[in-house]
Amino acid sequence: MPEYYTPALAYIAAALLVPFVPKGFLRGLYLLLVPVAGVLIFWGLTPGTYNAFNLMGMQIGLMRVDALSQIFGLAFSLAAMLAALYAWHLRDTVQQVATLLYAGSAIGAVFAADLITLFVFWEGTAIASVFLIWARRTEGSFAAGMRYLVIQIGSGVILIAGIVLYYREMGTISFTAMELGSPATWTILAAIGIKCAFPFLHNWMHDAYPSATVTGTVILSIFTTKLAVYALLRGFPGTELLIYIGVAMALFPIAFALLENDLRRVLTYSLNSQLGFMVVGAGIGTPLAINGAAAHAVASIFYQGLLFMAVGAILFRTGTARATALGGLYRTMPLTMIFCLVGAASISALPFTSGFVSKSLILSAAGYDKMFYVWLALLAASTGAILHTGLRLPYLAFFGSDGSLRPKEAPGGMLLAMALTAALCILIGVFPGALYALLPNDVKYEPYTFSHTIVQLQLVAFVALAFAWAVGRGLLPKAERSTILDFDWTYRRLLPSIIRGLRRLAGAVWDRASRNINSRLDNLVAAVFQLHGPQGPIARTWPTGAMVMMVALLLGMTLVLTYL
Amino acid sequence: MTGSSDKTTTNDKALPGAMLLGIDTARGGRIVTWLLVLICILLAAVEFVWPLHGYFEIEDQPVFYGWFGILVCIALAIFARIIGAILKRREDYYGSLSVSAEEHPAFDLAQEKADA
Repeated sequence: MPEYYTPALAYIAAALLVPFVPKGFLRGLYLLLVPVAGVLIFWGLTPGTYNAFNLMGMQIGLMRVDALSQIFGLAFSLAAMLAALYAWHLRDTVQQVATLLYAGSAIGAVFAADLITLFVFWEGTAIASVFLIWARRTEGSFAAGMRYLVIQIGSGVILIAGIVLYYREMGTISFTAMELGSPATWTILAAIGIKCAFPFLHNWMHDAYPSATVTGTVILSIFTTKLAVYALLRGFPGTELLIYIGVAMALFPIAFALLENDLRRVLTYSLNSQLGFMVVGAGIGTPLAINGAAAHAVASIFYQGLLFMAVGAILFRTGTARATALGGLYRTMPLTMIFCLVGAASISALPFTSGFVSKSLILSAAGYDKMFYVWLALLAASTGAILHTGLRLPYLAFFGSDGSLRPKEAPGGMLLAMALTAALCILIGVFPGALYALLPNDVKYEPYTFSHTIVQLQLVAFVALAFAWAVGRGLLPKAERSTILDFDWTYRRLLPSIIRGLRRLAGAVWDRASRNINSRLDNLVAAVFQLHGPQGPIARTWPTGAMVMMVALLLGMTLVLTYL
Repeated sequence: MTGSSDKTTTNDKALPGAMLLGIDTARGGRIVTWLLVLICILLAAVEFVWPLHGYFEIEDQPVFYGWFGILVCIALAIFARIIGAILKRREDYYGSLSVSAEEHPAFDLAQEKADA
């Protein structure tokens, strides 16, 4: 195998050739086959690092094959394929090229054995993905894309700073588990935290994802955040701080998801909350918890992707994803509704769906380690997920107040992609053994115990009853056309107004200081003029007699001084 | 469920999702709610016949997952209302630098009506 081979290469090469493939069926097929080519590069390889070489004294490893990289690589590849199918109708070359480069970068990063390769692909995901936002070609999406790009590139810059510090400290750039404690590791964790949407570093996601195109949002939801989860599992497993960060992540987006009117933004908050579960899993760090985080990342790629696809299909046909304009779509989009309900059931962790078999691992890991409050918080976050995405989202879109929209069902490519993704969500739920066999640690776990199945059914059923009762009495917060302020307010409104204030203050100080200096300079010039000007004593013309008198005086004084 | 008309039109009956017609009416909402009541009673009854096992003592409380779920829903609804009262602004709060108030561009869509 050539020395510079990585699955990313298949995507990058394919992206360069996209413009030369005729648009339509051939290009659609071509885009579907690229992920297959990517998988063939790492499929069947025995664990180990391939294509390693020396670069300026640093050991670069382009392809590390082990269980963790393989499961993420496979999930990303399959998701890229489903996304290509979903975007079958698309004729925009820019988006198609950006998608391939984005997916390729994410997969390349997952297989990176060293931090430099990780950094290169880390930035690759940032640069490629912004075009999926800009492809919407509106003023709002351009601004959102710029904010997204600044933050994502910022994450990369922080990462490379951390890598430099790490290399100085450890003398290696190998990407393995790190001990949090030095400035280097804190810096690297901060970079990963931005991409993982840690609390207060999360706003780029809720700002940018709903600003993308119909298909762009689906594709964006797959890669960036899961790549960050992978990086946490690889770099910081068992870091206790992550447990608390993860709990906060799982809980805080719930209220926003319950208030949001834009259904694509509801899903980004919901995704943010699900990421919290994975971060907790990485933080607990036991073999079961790591398996749980990896399994939940894979399951979430598909069920969250399915939900984004369903809302995307609604937007595609109706022109809006605002809950206030929707409702009653079950009449004309029954298939999209069914697929959306499968995604909703999965995120609610209903037994026999993927969410049940993956979320259980993380909750069990917290349970086995007797982390009562962590377990309770995650249970509350699970309840929130049932409420805001499992029930509220499908209710607002497909049932609820009839928005009188009677759109046509989604096109064939979208329906097929949703059907396959929904089938995957159910298959993983019914046959969890297939997913568990791919997990990084060899741990026996049985999700379908009688107790576990019944209690989860109880949770979903009672929450559904509470929801139905609350909706009937109008007790839930109403969806309204509005903007819910989040932490991005600090850099979109507060910071600019502070800068404006400081600018005004600096201007005022400068004006006052320059007036003061000017007046002093004027006085000085006036004084000099008074002394040296035409009327000044220095410039006065003295008579010759007076000069002789002065010279005689000076000579006389010299004489006196000489004889003294 | 509120906000919907109990009437369905002839056109609606020809639509692909016609078999669910009426689910979003007040009557449909009542049927769904009572169905859920029945399911909840059955699921609660199960644990009195076959005792369930959990990780913590609190799970031994009768129908813990049921009342915990309802309590969390109430708490979240209240909390969301408070957050909404503090943080909700008009849709065009960020002006043209946000997509919130703008319409999705038509070139990215294929808006078509259902054949009825």
